[in-house]
Amino acid sequence: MSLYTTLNIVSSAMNAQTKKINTCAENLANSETFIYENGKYLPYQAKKVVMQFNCFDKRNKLIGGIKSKVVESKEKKGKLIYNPDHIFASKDGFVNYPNIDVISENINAMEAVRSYESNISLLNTIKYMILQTLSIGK
Amino acid sequence: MPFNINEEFKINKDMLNLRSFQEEIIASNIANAGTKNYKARKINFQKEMKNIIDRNSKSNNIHINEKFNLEKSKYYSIPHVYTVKKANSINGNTVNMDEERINLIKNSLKYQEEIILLNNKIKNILLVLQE
Repeated sequence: MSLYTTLNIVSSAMNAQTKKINTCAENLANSETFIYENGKYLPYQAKKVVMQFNCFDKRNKLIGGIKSKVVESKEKKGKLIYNPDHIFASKDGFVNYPNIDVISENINAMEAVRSYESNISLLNTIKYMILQTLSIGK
Repeated sequence: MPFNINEEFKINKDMLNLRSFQEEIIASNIANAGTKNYKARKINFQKEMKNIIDRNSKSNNIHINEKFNLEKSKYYSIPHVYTVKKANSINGNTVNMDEERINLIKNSLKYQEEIILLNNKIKNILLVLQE
């Protein structure tokens, strides 16, 4: 039944937004973290969620939910900030910090929360519609 | 016109199906409101409704054979979906969130309206049967 397909679409969207909020929190928490790897301290790499349209219905390829995936860049790049007192500072006094923009991460999290809210209201509407359908003929 | 209980609820069934299909499209659009390069999906509701009314007023099972009728109903079960090409954001997404939210409320209210109409129809039939 198509109302239940709608529930699947909503659940996939909510899943994707949860992933987005999780990665935002992870990035914000690790905005000044270093990772020890192969005898070297490398800057933490920001993760991102990639969303893609994913159709559920075989009859109609145009309708569907979201396929989401967490991606991490392979090249360990950071941003150089002048901080000569830091323990990992180079000879010139620069530290290779993780390349994380705190403001844009915050805004991404806000966007995800708004999207999650609109999906919740959609879920409530669909639930109410299904209950109404069950009451036909009473 | 003879009363046929099979034919009586056909139009309500089709309308409810169309409304729930519309709901599915709205859900797909709201879910993908942030997806890059997603194009908003829409159906021509007026045209689909006209199709339903035409089909229900014309097709009487006595006039056409069963096989043809089955094929026809199969063909009409999926409305034609088109995509909105005109982009109004940077990432190529064409979903208009305000429009979708209003459509969602409107569609669910109309769905309930269809259910109330159907319930009234059933009540009328039961009333006649009790006489």
